[in-house]
Amino acid sequence: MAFEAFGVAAEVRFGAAELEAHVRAILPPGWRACDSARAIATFSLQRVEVDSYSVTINGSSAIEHASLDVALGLIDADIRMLIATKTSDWIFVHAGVVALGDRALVLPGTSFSGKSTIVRSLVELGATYYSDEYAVFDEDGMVHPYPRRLSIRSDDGAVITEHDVRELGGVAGEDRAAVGLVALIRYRPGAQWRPATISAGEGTVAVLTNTVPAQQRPGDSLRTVARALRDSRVLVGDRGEAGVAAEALFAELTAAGSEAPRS
Amino acid sequence: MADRPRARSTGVLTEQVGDELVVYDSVSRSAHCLSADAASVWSLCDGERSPAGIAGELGMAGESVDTALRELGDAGLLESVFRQQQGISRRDAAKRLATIGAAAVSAPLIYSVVIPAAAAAMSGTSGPTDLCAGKNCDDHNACTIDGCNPLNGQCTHTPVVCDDNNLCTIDTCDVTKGCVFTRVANGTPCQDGTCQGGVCVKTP
Repeated sequence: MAFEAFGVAAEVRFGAAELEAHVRAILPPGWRACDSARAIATFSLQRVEVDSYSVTINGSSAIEHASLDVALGLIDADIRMLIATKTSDWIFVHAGVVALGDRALVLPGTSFSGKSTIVRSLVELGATYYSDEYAVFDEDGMVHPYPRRLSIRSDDGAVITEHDVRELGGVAGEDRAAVGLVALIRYRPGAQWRPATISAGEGTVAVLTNTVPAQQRPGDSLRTVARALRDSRVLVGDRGEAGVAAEALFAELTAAGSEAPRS
Repeated sequence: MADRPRARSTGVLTEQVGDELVVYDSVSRSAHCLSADAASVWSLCDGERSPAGIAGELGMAGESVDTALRELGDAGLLESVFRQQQGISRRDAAKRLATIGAAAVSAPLIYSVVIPAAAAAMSGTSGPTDLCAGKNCDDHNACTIDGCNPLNGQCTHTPVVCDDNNLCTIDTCDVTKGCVFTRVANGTPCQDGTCQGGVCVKTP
């Protein structure tokens, strides 16, 4: 099965027909079928024996004797990395994103920074889901949806389950949005949400640390992130319980939407 | 001339953001946000003007220009001749940035970060042998840089080095706040004179 997303083409091969539905479930948002000749990477998923699978990437063994979930997770992660690093028309920033109307809240952060938890809380408050993984920017600095299934970690961080945003009563965004608010959040148990405001320039620098192609395409990255943040507020702070910070951010985003000039 | 600072012109990309200037340094792979004052000083570092000349042209206090120049040198944004005069080499600056990692370098005029490689900016996707997926390595200590070795799944907690290369501050690390740079008392002797407001001021 060859597919293309965000201008990057890849192929996933699987030995058994019953694997097709599993593979389709991990393909990136907005994927569409394409000619396998365009693929720049080939993933192969093979069942070795009952509940034991192997994965090769471009012909090299990546994992053997893995469960189906682990094998699919590996392919999923590598496809995401492939797209984020190889796309030439988009800038991928590691961030959670929600929106109200045409104004987006971007929550940059690396793994385990609690983005998904905040995103989930915001969706439950009524925000439109864009992503818990990437803020995908076009050359105008507008953010586009990347509504993969929401990852929810268990309290101890050891188990991750994925959920369609509709299962949480939310909706996924379909249109691009301007960035109205950026929040750089660190999870600290017991912390009270008392964010400080930093400048757009400082925010640009901070967001660059989460920008996937910042080293490979620094000019595009710098220009795009600066454009994205030109009319946004940038907050930085520690949060404890996610719901409190989410409610405050929801109010901030509501205010940002009402104050911003409509395009 | 050694006493006339020259801004680096190669390996840097700039973008104006409001009245600030964001600079990406492809040599040290770091990004800097220059305040309006720092950007103004940097724009006049042409190797011809002296610090006093820059101060006069901008209507800024000499100490403010000196501070900006020191921080520009610290960030590696001046040619090496002038930086070395200031006592800060590019290597030192890069080392300092690298050891602090992505955390902000405390500075009043310039905010700097190191840009991680693409894979490091990703979520649990360090490659096909990633044994860190789903692992929480946060030790809730702001004085360590938390990481995970994808080859063995072991958490790593690298101590943050809090060194601002400033003799007029006492460098410590607070487990909740991270690096803390406390000014020493005014009048404390330093390399070229005495400390005033956290800055070493030359004694005439």
